[in-house]
Amino acid sequence: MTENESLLLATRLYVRMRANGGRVIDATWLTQNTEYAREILRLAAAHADGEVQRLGARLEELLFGAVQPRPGALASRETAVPNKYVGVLR
Amino acid sequence: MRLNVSRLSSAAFVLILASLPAHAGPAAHPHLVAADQISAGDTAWMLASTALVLLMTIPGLAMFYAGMVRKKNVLATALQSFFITALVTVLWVLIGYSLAFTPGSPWIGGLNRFALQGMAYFHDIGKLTVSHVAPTIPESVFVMFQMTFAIITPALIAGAFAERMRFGAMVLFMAAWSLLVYAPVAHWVWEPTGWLAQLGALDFAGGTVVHINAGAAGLACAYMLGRRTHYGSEPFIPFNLGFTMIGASLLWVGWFGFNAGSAVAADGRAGMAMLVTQTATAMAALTWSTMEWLIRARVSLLGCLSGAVAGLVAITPASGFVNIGGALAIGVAAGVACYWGATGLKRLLRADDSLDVFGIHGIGGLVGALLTGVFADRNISGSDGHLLTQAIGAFATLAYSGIVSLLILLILKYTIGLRVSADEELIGLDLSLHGEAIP
Repeated sequence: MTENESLLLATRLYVRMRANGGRVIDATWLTQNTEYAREILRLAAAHADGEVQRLGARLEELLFGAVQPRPGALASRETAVPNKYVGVLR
Repeated sequence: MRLNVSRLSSAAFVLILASLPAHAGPAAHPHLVAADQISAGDTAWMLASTALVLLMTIPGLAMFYAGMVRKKNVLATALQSFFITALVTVLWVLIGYSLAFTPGSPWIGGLNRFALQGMAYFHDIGKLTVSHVAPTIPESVFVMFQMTFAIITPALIAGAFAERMRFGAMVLFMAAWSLLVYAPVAHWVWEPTGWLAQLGALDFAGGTVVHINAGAAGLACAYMLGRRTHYGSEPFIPFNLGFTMIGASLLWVGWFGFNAGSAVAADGRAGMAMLVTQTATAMAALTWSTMEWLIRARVSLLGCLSGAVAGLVAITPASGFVNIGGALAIGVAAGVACYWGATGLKRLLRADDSLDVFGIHGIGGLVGALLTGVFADRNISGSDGHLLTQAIGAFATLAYSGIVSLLILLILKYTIGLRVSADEELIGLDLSLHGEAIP
């Protein structure tokens, strides 16, 4: 995983969080400052939007390695991202 | 003075053309006729049909596809349909129509109508040109009607490479494909000197020319471009299936222009084509939904829409040849075959055909083409179908379209490149290629 990929994910998270809830985050600082990153990822994990949660989880994995799933967040994520769209549309 | 010379030249041209005899009997090429030989009823219906078929692509297909891709690729996908509409329009009037619908060899038409030269309408002397394929409507209307078919066919292909093709490569591919694949195949099937027309292959409204053709090219694109990043490991959630429902509805309604318009007349055969189109579509939608209910214990909106489109595709070649019984049978067959095409066959082929262009248009087109040979009713068309002839037409088109599409794609791959970069794909084509995004 490269820094570039982290920045790309952070940018997507920025767009998604701004569009869903109006929160504006600093995508570049997110990839550079550990404390800031942890706080934003905490917000993302608690976010109502499943895509924000998913992006946050992927970014957390990129920045800090594999993470233990949060029980509540996982259930919410599974609801928001059905497996039926994996490798098939219909 | 220059104006006077220009007027003189125009007047001389008109006089020369007017002095040519208007053909009393059927001609084997576009020709000049007196305006009173034009059928007002046929012309009115064909003008309406043309608008309906154009509506199928913009906004019908654009919305149908845009609703099924991820949010970050919605605008890029819609743009492809819209851009192809403009691109093919210009190509069609410049050369496509001439290559497809003028007599030439069995393989390709001539250049007699290059830039539509020779197509004429003379109000003062009451004469105009008609196509030998459609002698009761002005040639201008026939050019427009066929143009809408030439537009939607490449636009269908875009569903197979959605979310990952470079815009420039898409434009060049579509331009080349339109001239090297669509125009020849249209000539084979619909121009009386074409080899499949001579063979007696039946394709009323484009099951072979449009759907098998687009399906084969779509599969070639899916293989050549490779799978989308994270395909098969992450869910690719459709942006808005409500858009897809609106798009599918526009397709269904527009398809009456496609099929009933292909009678090129406002007559009983057009009425039959409309009736069997509605019937087969409904039957296929019910069949697909029933299969989902039986296999997955639920009925989905996308499944019902897909079944309807499968039925529309399959009845297309048969619409001017079959009766209600044939329409019901084709609807059932399309529902079953295309359900398999978009699920089981898709897994077997291992290609990321993003929006199931081959699974629905390719398979639906094949089902329709073959069953036209089974269910063609002599009372409706005056001709019988032959399964072998239908199979030759269908598989020849499948092979030609697939192979030439692969060749075009190979050339583009090793010159300008086909795929966006991994970063661009991750960000989404809306933002990375077009600088736009849905907030």
